[in-house]
Amino acid sequence: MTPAKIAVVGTSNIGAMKYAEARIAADHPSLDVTFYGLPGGKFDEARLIDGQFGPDRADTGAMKLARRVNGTATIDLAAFDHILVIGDTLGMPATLWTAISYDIADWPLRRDLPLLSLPGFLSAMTESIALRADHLRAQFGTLPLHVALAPYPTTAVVPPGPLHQQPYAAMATHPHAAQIHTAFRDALTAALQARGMIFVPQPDETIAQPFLTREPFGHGSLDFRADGRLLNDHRHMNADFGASLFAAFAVAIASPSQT
Amino acid sequence: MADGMRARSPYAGLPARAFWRGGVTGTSPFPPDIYRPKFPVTRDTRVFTAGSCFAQHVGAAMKAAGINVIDAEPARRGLPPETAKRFGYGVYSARFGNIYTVRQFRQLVDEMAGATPALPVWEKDGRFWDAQRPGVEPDGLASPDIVLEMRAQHLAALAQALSQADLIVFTLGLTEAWKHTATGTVYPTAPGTIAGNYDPAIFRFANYGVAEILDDFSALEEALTSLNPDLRWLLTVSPVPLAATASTQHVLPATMLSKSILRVVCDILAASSERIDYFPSYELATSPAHAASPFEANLRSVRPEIVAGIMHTFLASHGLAQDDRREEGLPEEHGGPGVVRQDDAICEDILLDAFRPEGAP
Repeated sequence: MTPAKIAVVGTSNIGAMKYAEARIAADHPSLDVTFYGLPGGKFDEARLIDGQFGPDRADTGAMKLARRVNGTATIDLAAFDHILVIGDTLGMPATLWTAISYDIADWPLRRDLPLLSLPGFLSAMTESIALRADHLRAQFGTLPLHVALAPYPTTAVVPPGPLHQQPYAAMATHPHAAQIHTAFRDALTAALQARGMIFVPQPDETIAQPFLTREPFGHGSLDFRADGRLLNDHRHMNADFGASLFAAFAVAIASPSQT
Repeated sequence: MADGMRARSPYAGLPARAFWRGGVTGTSPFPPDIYRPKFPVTRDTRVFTAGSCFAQHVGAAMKAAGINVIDAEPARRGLPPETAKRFGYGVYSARFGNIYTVRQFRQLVDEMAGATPALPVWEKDGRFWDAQRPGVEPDGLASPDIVLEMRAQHLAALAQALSQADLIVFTLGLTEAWKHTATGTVYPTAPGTIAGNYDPAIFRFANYGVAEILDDFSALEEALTSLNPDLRWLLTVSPVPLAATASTQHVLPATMLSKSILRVVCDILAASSERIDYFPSYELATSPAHAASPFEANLRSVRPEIVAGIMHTFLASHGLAQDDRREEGLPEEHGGPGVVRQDDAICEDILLDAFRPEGAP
């Protein structure tokens, strides 16, 4: 049987999966996986032109980088059976900033912040997601896509210090974080589905608490552009995470692990 | 008459602006000398904006010109623009929604000082609305308690905004309102339009005349002067016609009556105090000098280029226009920064249109 051709396309966050390539090949022998990544800002400007996905063609630096990292400046996505896009935060930061900027009137938490109604909060979430989902759809034309969020940062970003990262850190103590997490996933699933995309949620086994990844997955993360360059920034994840996320994707395309 | 002698006339020597020909005919529909400010407005002037939905244009244009428009309940980080606007953030100086009548504004300030409006919460299909600003929560709220809690927070923000203001820009929109018969509480929308239910035993129609509006304004001004003694006012009249009238008149004369009353009120008030100025938005919008109708196809929404011209005239008179084309007048097709299309303005009164008879165009 000819292996199904899979393209994993995205930002620097594809690194976790790229460095799990050998494990993915072993776990999923029926899948032939190709990786194509660009740094976040360049990925945001990338789009499909005549079937070829790639960075802004006028950006010679980005084209050169794409060629160096991926072996090709652009990629013909029509040649693949399935495409997994990883890396956009898809309205998540705006949603979380809203949640920590207001007390949601319908929930009991009061921190002496301005009140925002729950319909207002959900509308803000929907609008923030839609803005990014529309952009993603425009980047890839009408191609069917599976989409995974950029991973949640690990719990290492919660304490004050060099890794500290809001608004995610605030979710560690937010009493309604679980409700927000559920609402966000539901809204994101619906928004992607409405645009012909399927959401692949971050696997539960990697999640410490809503919007935060278990800390071990942040250790040993590597720069997707250069073999062996350690990141350990706890925003990018390691190969264990990549293998886990790929397994979730494989289930989504009905091709689960054969090991 | 002998050569070299002309009859004396009190009109001789008056400037071109005093004559229809030259003041209106044959000049820009936005004549730069139509408005002579009583007091300066600068980018540092702390402006509080309120009024009927046309006032949204005024606030937006002032913000775009860099004027310090107060926003006591701003959209905070994360809240995206469409949602913010739909829920009344950044539309006026606080989230009070449209204030269509002077009575409504007076009542709001009285409430800030402790008065309680009658029937403050309206219900529809198990959701609850703030009867005094139903438009700022388009989906309603989960309980009356939440309505009241959010209102208390709003009133505190409003008091802060009014105490900070140097100038209130208030666009008078309507004379018609619906009131609670027993207490006189007025509402910005008719009961049953967004929420609540019309019961003629509880509510009745009011159409305020010049004297009543002047009384309301005097009480409003007095209440605000005690809070902020240096406050000044800039009044305008909205050119947007009534969406519907409950006066038994045809809607056209009802509109003309309403606007005429408001225009007279503005004139009396502006003549009465150096602290009160009037800017002729109504006249600029409805001037016969426009080459085409100043209204959109619905004959109600003011075309964006007309709004832009009006606001440019205002800003230019204060030296705040971003590019000064006063001498040339503005091209009619001109839109401008900060101009909100009338269709995009939040106007609850248009919801009355849904109640027109079947078969009406």
